[in-house]
Amino acid sequence: MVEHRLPKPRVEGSNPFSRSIFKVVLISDGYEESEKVGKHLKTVIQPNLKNGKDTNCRECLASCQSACKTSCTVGNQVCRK
Amino acid sequence: MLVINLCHYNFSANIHLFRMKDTNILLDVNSGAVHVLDDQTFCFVEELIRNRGDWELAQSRTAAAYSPEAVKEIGKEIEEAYRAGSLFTEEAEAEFDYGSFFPKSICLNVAHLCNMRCRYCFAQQGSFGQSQGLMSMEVARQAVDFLIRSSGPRKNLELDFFGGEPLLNMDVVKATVEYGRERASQAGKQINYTLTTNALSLDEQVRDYLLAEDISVILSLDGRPQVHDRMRILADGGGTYQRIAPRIQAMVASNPVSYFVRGTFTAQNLDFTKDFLHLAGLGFENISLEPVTGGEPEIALTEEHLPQIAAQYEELAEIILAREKEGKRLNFFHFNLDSNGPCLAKRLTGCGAGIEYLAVTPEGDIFPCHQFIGIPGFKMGDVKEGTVDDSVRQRFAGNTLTHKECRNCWARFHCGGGCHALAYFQNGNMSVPHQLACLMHQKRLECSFYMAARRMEG
Repeated sequence: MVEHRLPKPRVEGSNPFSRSIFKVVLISDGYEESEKVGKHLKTVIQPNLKNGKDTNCRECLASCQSACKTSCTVGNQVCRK
Repeated sequence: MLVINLCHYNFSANIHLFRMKDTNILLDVNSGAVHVLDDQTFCFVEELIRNRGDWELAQSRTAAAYSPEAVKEIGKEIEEAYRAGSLFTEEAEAEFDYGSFFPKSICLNVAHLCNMRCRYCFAQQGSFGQSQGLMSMEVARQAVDFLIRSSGPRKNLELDFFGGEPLLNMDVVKATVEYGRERASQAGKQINYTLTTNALSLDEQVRDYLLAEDISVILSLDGRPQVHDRMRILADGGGTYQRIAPRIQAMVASNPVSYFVRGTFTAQNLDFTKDFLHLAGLGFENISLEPVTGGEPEIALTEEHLPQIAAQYEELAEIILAREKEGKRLNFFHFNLDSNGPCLAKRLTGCGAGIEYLAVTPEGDIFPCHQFIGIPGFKMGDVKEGTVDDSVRQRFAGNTLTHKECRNCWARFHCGGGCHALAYFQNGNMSVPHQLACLMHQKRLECSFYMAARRMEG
């Protein structure tokens, strides 16, 4: 198979967020496991969008190989790592 | 005084704030974190959004309704969440290269014929609009060889026996598993097998085989007998519930390596929660109920059905929570939220159709997925030659979340941009998502977050 390198997504200039003055918070490994319970704000699901060099192994299940076959269910596939 | 500068923050794309029942919920889209807010904090975040991130204005407007002391506390807790990377986060960069993606999952249509005539079948009763037929062992072997050869460094491969009805070609299923195990072992890989069946031919012998080989099963049953028999019928028009339900029960009771009982709901059973309860009553824990795609006008779902569908999902969430309190586990596929979910790159690249996931017809033709089989312009090659048309592959590579109008949708990291086929069949354009499917998916996600919140309450 001939592989093509496609434009990489989210390059500088392609997205207004990357030009924002807001501090970029990189979501990476090493999340805090403990639940955060405040008086006004309770965290019920901790940050979980893994990114970085130890991700993108592509070993997890294809979404349509699970139960659906007719709808896209990417977010509830289990990471194999 | 604390002030977080959010004047340039894209709230609509990065924050989803909603109320379900009496619970105020906030999804921080880019981290995946979910928070429950009290009414005061909900009001503060609403003001923040309404005033485009003007922190001081939001504080003063909230203080008009609540005490200044409470507003100060809220600001402190929001700051803590912000510093912890769980609130008002920006999207991280995820670099990936489609050149490093390899086909690793195959939907093997071993039979383009079926022993049932389900009224909503997207596969046109198994033929996919093509000639009916069974896959030969030669083609199945070529498909396995293609999968092993094309999968590059991927170790965990998948092969789903599909159709039509795969049990109509059981000899080839068995021979494929045997050959696949041998080839995978030689290549240092693992093929995980799944079989999707209407269960009409799922007798004891077949069941024992599937159990012995650790083959995951997807078992089709729509729910209540009258609902099932209205749609899932034989060629003579007769219903199938009485023949199928006991077979599925026997399969599940035998403890397969993995299973889902999968139903379809249509405009004719918009009270599908009752079907879920019926399936649970038959002893099934892992249940999926899928919205019908397309179909005749009297069964097709439209946006006017959405309020009822949304109410049903909410009811389903309450039912599952109530059963959990009784110590009973019920797993509704679309409410799953695994804390060990996929990475950002996976979420950005969607279902993988046409790139990592391919479908193979009985003749050996390769299509981007099972739903594109037989659609002109989507044939990608055949397993005999073992090559894939890169122009079709690129159409799918170019249709991922990073390029679509979904860029600003709060649900984007959960659906990965949605189903290419649904978009194509509704809009004639893979890049324009299926609106109703999006709305239903969003509702299911809201229910999932709500359930997480309720579980925390205990």
